[in-house]
Amino acid sequence: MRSLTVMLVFSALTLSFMSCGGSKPLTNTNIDPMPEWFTNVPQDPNFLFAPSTDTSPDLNLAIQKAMVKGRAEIGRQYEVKVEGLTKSFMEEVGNPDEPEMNQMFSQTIQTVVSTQLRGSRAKKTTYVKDGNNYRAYVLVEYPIGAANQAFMEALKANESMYTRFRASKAFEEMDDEVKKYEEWKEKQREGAKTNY
Amino acid sequence: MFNLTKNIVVALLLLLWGVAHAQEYPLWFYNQSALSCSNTVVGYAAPSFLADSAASYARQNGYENFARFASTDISGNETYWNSEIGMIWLQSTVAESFDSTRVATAARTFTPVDTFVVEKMIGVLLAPGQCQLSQSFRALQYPHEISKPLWTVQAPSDAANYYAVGRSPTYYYEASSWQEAEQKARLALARQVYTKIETLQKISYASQEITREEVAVRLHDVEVVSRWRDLKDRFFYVLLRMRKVNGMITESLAEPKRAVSQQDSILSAGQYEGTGR
Repeated sequence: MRSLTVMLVFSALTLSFMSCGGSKPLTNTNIDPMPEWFTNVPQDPNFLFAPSTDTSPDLNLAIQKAMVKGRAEIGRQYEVKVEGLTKSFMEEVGNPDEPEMNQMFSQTIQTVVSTQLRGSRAKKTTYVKDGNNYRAYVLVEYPIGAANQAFMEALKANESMYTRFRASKAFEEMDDEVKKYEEWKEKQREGAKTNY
Repeated sequence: MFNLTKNIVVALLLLLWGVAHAQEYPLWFYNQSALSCSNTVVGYAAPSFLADSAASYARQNGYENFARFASTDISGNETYWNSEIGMIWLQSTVAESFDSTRVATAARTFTPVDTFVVEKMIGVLLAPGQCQLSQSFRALQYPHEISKPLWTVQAPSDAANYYAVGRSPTYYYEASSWQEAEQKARLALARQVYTKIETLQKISYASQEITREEVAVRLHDVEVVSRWRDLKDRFFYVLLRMRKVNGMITESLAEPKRAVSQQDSILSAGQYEGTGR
């Protein structure tokens, strides 16, 4: 009985000492905070932004993988916008008796935007060492104004389709965006200065 | 015994001085676009037993770099698999090609303006015709004396130009590092001009995505704006610039037209000897 009591007391003391040990910190991990722009993504009507991150022992590969993810995300964002545009156009001026015209409009959109990005770039890039890997953070930027402009140009190529499109509210919205983009470009040209 | 110790100390001091001195670069190397001479190009080479040979290799590399920056075709695709375990790079067929006939033309028209030697590299600045380089640009400076440039984390932007940053780790031969940084920057430029992305998402018991990026671009008249070496993290950085009108998508062209680059027009203007092509 006495030995049982001693054993119980010893076990209780051992357990209480073990619980004082605390948890071990992670080794070889640089827990730097992620960049501010990664969680607080900038807003600009002329651009789409996609923050992205990935890891690799090779920094260039980590950045490239993050860029690929970011570009794919930009592609998805733009597709959502275009789907909305197509829907509003069809609702406004689409005619069920003219399936060819409707199809032509959809095809023009597909050709111009789909996921062919012109002007996508890494606006900001940073990295941290994460064990044996690099973790790259990238903010991918896509000039939506340029894409809208390209879309309008493609529409103008088909006169009858363009005439129909001009009568829609969707046109007004897009024309407004293109004009804003033109103004932004003009400002950029005037104050063309680099910050490197 | 005392003499031996003294000799070892002197040798160590010389070695330390040499290592420290070996990391100095001329100011023009950091900020090449600030030079008054246009169309300058830099050639790199690993040290040779004979200094003349190394300088000769560096000049040859400079002529090739001129051809690359004047006009380069970059095409191919890369495939990635993204799943629960992260993104995996599957394959790449992206390759660069340039018109090698420009190398011979550059050899006839470009002359060395300045040469510098660092620990494991010789660098040569070449320019077409005469180029006067001021003493201030020839002055040497350590990379760590220059604070990390903003462009290494935030590429510049303006309406007329594309900018791209290339990075490279430290290789045994420094020339390889600078060349890789330039090549990565050219690839980044090409991807800005045009990238086609195809993604296939599969969501069943586990989510996965295959992403394929395709690039098919011809770059014209690319110029080096700045360089910087990060001694702490052991990376090399190069900032490139190209006018937006000089990026051409080659995907839909069976036989891309050969556009005349700015450098070509300078070479063929007849103001330099032996430019006939």
